[in-house]
Amino acid sequence: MSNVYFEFFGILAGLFSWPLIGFVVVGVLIGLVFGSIPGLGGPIAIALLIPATFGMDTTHAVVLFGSTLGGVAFGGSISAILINVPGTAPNAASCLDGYPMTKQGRAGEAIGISATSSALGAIFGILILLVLIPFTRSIILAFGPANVFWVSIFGLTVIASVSRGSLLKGFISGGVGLLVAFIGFSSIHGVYRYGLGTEFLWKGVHIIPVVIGLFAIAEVINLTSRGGSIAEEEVTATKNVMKGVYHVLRHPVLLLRSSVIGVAVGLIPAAGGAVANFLSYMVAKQRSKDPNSFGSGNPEGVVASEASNDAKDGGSLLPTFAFGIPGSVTMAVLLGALLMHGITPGRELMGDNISVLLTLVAALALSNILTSSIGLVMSDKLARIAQVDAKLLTPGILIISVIGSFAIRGTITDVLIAMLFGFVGYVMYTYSYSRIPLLLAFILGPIAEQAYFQAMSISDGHYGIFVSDPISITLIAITILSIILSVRTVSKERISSELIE
Amino acid sequence: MEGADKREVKAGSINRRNVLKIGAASTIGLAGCLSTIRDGGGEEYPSSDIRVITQASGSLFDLWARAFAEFAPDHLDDDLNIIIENVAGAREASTRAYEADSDGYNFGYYNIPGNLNLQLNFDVQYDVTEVDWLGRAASYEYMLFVNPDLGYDSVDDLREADDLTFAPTGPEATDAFLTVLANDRLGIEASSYVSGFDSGLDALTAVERGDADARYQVSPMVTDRIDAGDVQPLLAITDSPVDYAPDVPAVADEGHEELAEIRLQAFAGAPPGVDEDRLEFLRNLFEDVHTSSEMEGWASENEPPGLGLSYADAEECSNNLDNLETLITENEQLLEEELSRL
Repeated sequence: MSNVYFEFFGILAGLFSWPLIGFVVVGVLIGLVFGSIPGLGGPIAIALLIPATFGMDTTHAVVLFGSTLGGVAFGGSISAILINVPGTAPNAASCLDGYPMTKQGRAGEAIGISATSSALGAIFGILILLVLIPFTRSIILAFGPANVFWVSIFGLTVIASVSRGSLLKGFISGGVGLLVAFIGFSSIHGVYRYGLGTEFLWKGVHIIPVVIGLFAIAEVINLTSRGGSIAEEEVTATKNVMKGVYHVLRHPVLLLRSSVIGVAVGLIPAAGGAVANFLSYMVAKQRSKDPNSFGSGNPEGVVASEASNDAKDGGSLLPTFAFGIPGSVTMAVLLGALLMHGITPGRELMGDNISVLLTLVAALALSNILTSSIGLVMSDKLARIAQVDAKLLTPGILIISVIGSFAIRGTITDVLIAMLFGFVGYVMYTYSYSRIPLLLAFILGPIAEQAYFQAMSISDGHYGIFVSDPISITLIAITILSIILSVRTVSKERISSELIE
Repeated sequence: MEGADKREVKAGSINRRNVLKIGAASTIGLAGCLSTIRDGGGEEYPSSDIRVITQASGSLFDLWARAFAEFAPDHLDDDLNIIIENVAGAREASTRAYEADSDGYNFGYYNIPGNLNLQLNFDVQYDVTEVDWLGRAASYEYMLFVNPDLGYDSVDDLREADDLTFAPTGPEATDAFLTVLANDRLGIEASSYVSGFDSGLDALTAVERGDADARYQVSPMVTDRIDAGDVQPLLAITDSPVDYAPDVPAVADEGHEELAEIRLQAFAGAPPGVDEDRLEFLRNLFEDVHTSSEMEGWASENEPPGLGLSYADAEECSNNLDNLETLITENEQLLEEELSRL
């Protein structure tokens, strides 16, 4: 084990030499730009780098890929905080408290929190990854479909937590998300569902146009209709950044817990990257001394979301590298990119060729520190976006949204879907329906369905498989506890809002 | 009111001007079109970049297309390049490739027999039997794997097994119909199936975990798992034993060499209707690139073994497709019955 650490730190030190440091800087800048533009994110950044790295030295390419990944994760939080548009789906929970902070003129503080918790979360995730390397196979094989089913059900309980006082509205929103998620060809049942006979919907509705529509385009409509700027209060930029940094450092338990959740979810191949930050957010809310302020600008919400989001990359590298099972679209594209450089996932990569994995991880660590430093330096300037007049800001957001939607599959239909969800998002905003349950159900619904039917096939239709091992029992217990705590929190929120009225 | 009149007058004058503009533009446009057609008759080919449509970035099909794009310019005159267009999904990429302009400047990569299987079982907007094949870029063989803890050492053991669960990726996947056909020919009975996996490697992991007993898997990707004993290969779906598992018998030894036609293959094909001369040029280019020392050198440096590089000409592609189509259509009822159990 110590050999792995020794080798890791040796590689990390080597990254400061030329030309490797150059690749780190380039990767960070690419990652920041692609992460902060909604719809682009990690998959497109890595995909565009594939031809550029063809023929490049393998180590240089791996450093470039790792650094880009590091930049994307933090970049995605910038737009989530400033304009309520998550740059990538795993940044969605950062909107919940980050954007209200921006509206309160505390954008700099929110970015400071995001930068610090992103860097520390990533480093923590990487340290855990190094510890877990020898146990990778056992951990991944321990998680069967029944366990994945319970993880996704646990994730769905977040709906209660983010429903902002109305469980019914949360469930309606989640129900719509499930309906949309089931559009397309089902590999389990071998049938094409709700596709209206079109070729385009065969693979279902892509998450990116949904995210862009629900958040970015809905925000454009909202800003255009109300005018003014995003920040409803004066932006107090100076010293805000350091306030954010201190805030993270004052909450080590929150940071640690969120990072552990991130790594754990990342390790489960089927769970997907977007689950970690919602779970972490929900747990933070339940454990907070002031849960009622979550959703209206509580810095703890940003810490929880961003620390877990960056920590999950460490966890998700293990199933990707050890088994070739990517936990997210970004990891799938990364896998292909590595294959192009002659790097095949499997035992060798976790054994004799572990230096490749360690190089990627070291680049990820360094790029996270660099990215967050850039974020801290730039945050006051970035925060001023919140003061820009909506007339000037909205055309830009709209153009980026259209580009982001189109870039995914190169079809105009994705742009139309983004527009449709823009109106859906605006209606939901107007009538106080949280958009997060819709997104959560959209992500988790297919995972739960797939895991449920696989588990039932394995057990020949016996439900006992869902309670047949300690992992499932533990997950059920956590899920029940989570539901109780969430319902209690929602009830308290309702009572306090009635008292205020 | 006065203002409105002025606007009407102004609008009217713009309309007249527009009519003149449209007339002029149409004349110039028509002349341009005619000159293009004239040019087209004696045009040097190729005179512009060639577009290659393939699956999503990072996929195996993208890998082969990019390798072609890297080495093809050395075999083209002037400064012509190969432009890659990625389309997510085998079905979507094939549709885009099939519907591309048949001007000799477009071709695409097809997953054979995956695309054929989709075509025969679902509504698709392409027809692989109509595609003008340029050649085959790569080919991967399948193997039959079992969980090593179960104690099965041969196909005979599987024939005698009472309760066998197979793990095909999904009903639309190539390994699903291979599972049905191979089990039927080999006399193996699958008592149940677990499917709906995101990828073949995911399904193989289910076999390792013990969620299923056996699976037909593209094997060059998992040589390390074979070496480590994580999964046990019982049969290679090939004409002869493979280099990395020489002790594993081939399906041809069992008397079913027709099953060896089922492999994961990357065929390159132009949309129907490309001029014969241009088609011949593309075929020669494809062969030159795939048999070049540069391409072979690049492939040999990469894992999995040779990245499956395995050139075959257009005729061989057509023959393979015909054989596969016969194999599937002859067993239509069996496939329908068994795949509905997935």
